[in-house]
Amino acid sequence: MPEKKGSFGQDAQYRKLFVEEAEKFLKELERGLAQLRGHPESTDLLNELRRFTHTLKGNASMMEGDRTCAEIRKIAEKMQLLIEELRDGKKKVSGEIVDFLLEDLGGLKILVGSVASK
Amino acid sequence: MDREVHMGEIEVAKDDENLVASGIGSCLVITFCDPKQKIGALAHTMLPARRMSFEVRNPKDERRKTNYKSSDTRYADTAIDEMLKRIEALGAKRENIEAKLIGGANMFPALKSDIGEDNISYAREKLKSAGIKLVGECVGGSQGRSMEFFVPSGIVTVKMKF
Repeated sequence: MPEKKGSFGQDAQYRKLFVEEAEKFLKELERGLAQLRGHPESTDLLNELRRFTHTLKGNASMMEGDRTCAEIRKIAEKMQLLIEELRDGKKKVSGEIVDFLLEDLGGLKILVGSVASK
Repeated sequence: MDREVHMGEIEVAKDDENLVASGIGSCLVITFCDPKQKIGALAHTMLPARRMSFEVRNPKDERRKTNYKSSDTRYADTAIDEMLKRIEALGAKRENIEAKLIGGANMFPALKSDIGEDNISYAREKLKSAGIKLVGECVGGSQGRSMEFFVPSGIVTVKMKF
């Protein structure tokens, strides 16, 4: 274990774990967002998507000391908040909103790829 | 002296400074060197270009304010223009500039969209149209990279992560 909180982000072993998990979430988010276009009202699907962004956000915030992970946390949180609004009926799923989420997902791919390259 | 260039940033250097970048996955690092004047520039770009559709989206949307794409130097397109501006301001001559490309890996082949490949092909086109010599590349594949750019000599060393 790293000696103090905040060193996870610098530890190659934890970074590797983070990337492995994050890659799974990216894959699930990609799949889920594709489904969302055809099932815009599915609360189950939105709950599932929310869970992936939430866990990714949590994992990223564990990686203190890594600025790329801090960016990942911000984007995942932004996605989570939007997905919650969709789930709670405050916003309606539209093609534009799915595009927004896909754009954020693209950003996450770049950032996770960078963490994987360190 | 080493200076780290993070994602979305541009740095210029003169004389005996080194510019370094790490965590280069699908990102594309572009280096410019004027070997006669010993001036260099490095851009750590993330995406090829700002998408046109991005400009016409709802301007009132709050989400835009924190969008990671808000900075121009994250795009190869605008970053190359900015690099030219800064390096020419230091006295570099466009006809002497030698460019190198590093990165553009496909980090997650299981996922859709290969941002790395888009970055590479876009930057090649842009350099060509700007009339800049492309003298070296270490691009593609599915491994991340880190690199060092020794400005006085223009030498770039790349480490691949396996």
